[in-house]
Amino acid sequence: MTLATERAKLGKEPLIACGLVMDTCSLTAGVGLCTATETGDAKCYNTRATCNDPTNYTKTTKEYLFSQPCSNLPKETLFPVIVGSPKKAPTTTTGGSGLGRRSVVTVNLKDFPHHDRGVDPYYSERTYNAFETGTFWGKFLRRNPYYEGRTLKVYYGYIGDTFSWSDFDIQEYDIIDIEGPTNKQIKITAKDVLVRTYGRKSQYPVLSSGELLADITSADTTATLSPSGIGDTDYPASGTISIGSEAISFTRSSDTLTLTRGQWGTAADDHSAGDIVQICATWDESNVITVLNELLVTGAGLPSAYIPTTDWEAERDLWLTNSLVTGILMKPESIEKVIGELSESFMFDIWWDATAQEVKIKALSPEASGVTLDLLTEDYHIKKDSLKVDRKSEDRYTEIQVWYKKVDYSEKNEIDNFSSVQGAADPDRASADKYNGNSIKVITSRWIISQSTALQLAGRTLARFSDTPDMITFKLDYKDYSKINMAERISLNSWQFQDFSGANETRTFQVLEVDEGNDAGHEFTVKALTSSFVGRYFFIAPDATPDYSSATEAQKQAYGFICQADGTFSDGSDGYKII
Amino acid sequence: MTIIIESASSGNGKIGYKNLFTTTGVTVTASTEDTGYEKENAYDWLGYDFWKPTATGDSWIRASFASAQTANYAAIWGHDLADHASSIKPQYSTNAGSTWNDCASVVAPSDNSTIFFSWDDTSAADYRILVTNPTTIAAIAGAQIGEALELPYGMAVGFAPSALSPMVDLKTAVSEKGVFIGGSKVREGIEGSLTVDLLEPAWVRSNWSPFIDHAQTPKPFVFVWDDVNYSTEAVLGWVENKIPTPNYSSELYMKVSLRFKGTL
Repeated sequence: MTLATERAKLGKEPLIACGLVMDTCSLTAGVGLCTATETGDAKCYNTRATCNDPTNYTKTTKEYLFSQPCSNLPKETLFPVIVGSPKKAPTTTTGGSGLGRRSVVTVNLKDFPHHDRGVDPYYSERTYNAFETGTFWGKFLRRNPYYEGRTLKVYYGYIGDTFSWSDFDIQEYDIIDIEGPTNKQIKITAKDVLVRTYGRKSQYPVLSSGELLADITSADTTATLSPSGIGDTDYPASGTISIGSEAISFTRSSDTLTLTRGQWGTAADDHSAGDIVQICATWDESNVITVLNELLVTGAGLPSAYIPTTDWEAERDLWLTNSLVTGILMKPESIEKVIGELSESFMFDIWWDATAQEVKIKALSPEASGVTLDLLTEDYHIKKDSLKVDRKSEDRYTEIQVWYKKVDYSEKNEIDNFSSVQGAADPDRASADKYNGNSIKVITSRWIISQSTALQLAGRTLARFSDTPDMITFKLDYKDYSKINMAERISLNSWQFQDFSGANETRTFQVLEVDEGNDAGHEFTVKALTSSFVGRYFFIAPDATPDYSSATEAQKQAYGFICQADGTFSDGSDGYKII
Repeated sequence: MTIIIESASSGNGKIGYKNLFTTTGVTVTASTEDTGYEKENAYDWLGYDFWKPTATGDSWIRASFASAQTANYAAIWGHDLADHASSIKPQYSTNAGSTWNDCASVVAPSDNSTIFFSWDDTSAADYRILVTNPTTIAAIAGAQIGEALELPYGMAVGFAPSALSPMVDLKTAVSEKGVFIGGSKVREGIEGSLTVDLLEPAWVRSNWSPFIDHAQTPKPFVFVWDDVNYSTEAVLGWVENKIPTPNYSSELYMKVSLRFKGTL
C-alpha cells in the first residue's frame, strides 16, 4: 500500500521512526586488511574512535533505527524509545526575500540497558555482561563521538496492512548535536543540509594561504607569493586576488604574479610583506542558477546529486533568464549570507527538500500557463477553527527602489556606494483615496549591474506587494498532504475571505512552510502568503494562435493578446502586462 | 492470540513467567540464526529484538539440561508468524534429541498476537520450539517454555478481559463546516488487572511471591485468564508500578492483585 493511500485511509496508524546513520568499519578486527591484534575487551567496536588499526580503517555506514512506542511495530531491530514526536521547526521560505529558515529537527530518545547484540560485532568475546554494564546511549556516544554532520533520517509513515519502509516519507538532515544522557534521555538536534552554507561550516571563497613575499607599492605590477612553491599548488594561472581592500586581477607564473591594480572600484594601495593574498570569487553576468550551483557544490561541498539540474534549468529558462550576477567576493564570506542576498536580488526561493533530498528553487512569479491550482475548501479540507489570517501591512509597498552598480566592492552595501537606481511606483495606490501615503522599499544589490534586471526586480516586487498581503496558517488532515508543496500555489475558499457581498471568495496563496508539528501523521500545518500579482501576465503565443475573441480560455490564460487602445478587450477584461 | 490446550485445563487463569531458556544450567542452541537476529533475542525478555533463522523449512531453538525439567506451557510473543504463513509447536525429547514428541498441536496463527500452549506436565531434559517457515522467514521476540503459575480460582465478578478493548489514542478530523474528513489512531497495547481472593497463605508464599520477584525485575509475563473458554485473550503483560503486597482479606485467607500493561 502506498503512502498516499495510507494517508487517505480512515483509521490510519501513524508511525514516526528515526534512523541514525553512523560511520562504521567494514572490516573484521584482526582479519584481512585489519592488522589489529587486540582480543576480548580490548577489541574495537568497528568505529573510528575505538579503532586499533586507524591506517586501515575502512569507512562505511550503519543505520540504527528508533521508533515511537506502539503496538504492531515491524519485527526487526527497532528501538521503540522515541519520546513523544520529533519536534520540527520547518523550513520556511520567504517568498523571494531572502534565504528563510533552515529546518531543525529535535528528537528525544530514552536511554536503556542494552545487551550490545547488533551493536558490538564482538559482543560474544567480551568478558563483561553488556546488559548490566552502562546504558545504550552512554556506550553509543563513547564509541561514536564523531556524529556531527552525519545523517539523521526521519521516517514519516503508517503501520499499514503490509509494512515496508519504502512506503515512508524519509527525510534526511545533518546531525548538529547530541545532548545527554540527561534524565535518562538524549536529545538529537539536526538541520537540513543547507546548514552547510552557514559561515561556521563553510565560506566562499576558501581562505587562501599565500602571502606577499615583499612589500609592494601602489604602482607595482608584479608581486611574489610566499611560501615558495605555493603559486603552483594553491593559485590559478589567472584571476582576481585581494590584498587588503584592493582587488587586483593577475596572471601567474610559478610564484610570480603580474598585476593589474585597483579593480572592481577599489583603489591601488601599498601592501606589506606578509599580507595575505586572497583568491577572489568573481562573476561577470553569470546566470544566478550557475552561481548558486557554484556556491553550493564547490563552496559548501554539497554533493552534485543534491542539485536537480534539469529542474533548475527549467526555472531559469522560464523566469530567471535575465537574472545575471556580476560581482566579487573579495574575502571569504558566509555562503548562507550570499545566497540570501541573491534570493532577494533575483526573487527566488531556495530550500532543502528533505524527502527528495534536493535543493529546490522557485522563482517568484505569476503562475505559469496551463496550471490548475488545487482548491482547498472549508467544507472538505480546512480543519475546524484552524485558519488564521494575519494581514501584513508592513509588507505592502507603493514604491520600490533598486540600487545597483556598486561603486567600490571593498566597501559596504550602503546607498551612497551604488551609482544607479531603478524604481517602480504605484501613485494610484498611494493616493489619498486609497492607501493615503507612500510605503517605500529600498533594495541594494551588489550583484546587479544591468538596468533591465534592476527594473525587473522593482517591477516584480511592486506587482507582488502592491496590496497588503495576508499571511495565513491552517491545518489539514494528511489525506490532503499531496496538495501542498513548498513554494507552490494553492487556492483557498473560506468564509474568512469574502467579496463585497459577503460571499466566499477564492484566493491564491504561496506555501511558505509545511509543518508536520507534534501530530505528524494525523494533521499538519501550512503557512502561506498571498500570491496575487497585480495585473495580468502572459507568455508569447505560438504561431497560428487565434485572435482574443476566438481564443480558448486556456489560451487566454497562457498567452498575451494585443488589447484595445483603452487597455481592455472587447469583452471588457483587462489587457496584459509585461513583467 | 491463540491458546492451545492439550490437557484437562481448569480454566482458572495462568501466568507464564518461568522460562527454561533462562533457567540455570541450560544450554540454548538454535538451528540457525540470522545476523542481528541472534537466538539470545528470543529469551532476553525484550520486545524490540528477535530471533530469526536463516532458512525456510523447519527451524528450532532448543533448551537442553543435564537432568529432566518439568514443563506444562509455552508462549510465543512479538512474532510475525502469520505474516509469513508459518507454523509453530513446542516439543520435548527424552533421548537427548534423537526423537522429539509434541507437547501440543501445531499452530498456524491467523494473526501476530501472543500464542499460549498448555499441556499436562512433561518431564524431559530437552525442549524446543519448532518453527516451520514455508517461503519466507518469521521473527520471534519472545519464546517461553516451562511451568505455568496456575491461579486457584477463576476470575471474580468485575474482571475485565483486557483483550476486549485495547488502548488506542484516537484523533478525528472535522472540517470548518463540520464535515468528518478523517481519523487516525495509535494503538497503545492493552492494560489489565486482576484480583484473586480467598487464597491459602501458603499458596501465596510459594507461588505468588516468586512471581512478584519476576514481574518486579521488571520482566514481562504471559497471562491467560481462561484458557478453556476464551482462548483468544492471552496477553503479554508487564508491571509499571509496584505490585500491591498480598494482604489478609480474612483471618485465614489472603488476597492478591495485579495491574499491568502489555500487548496482544
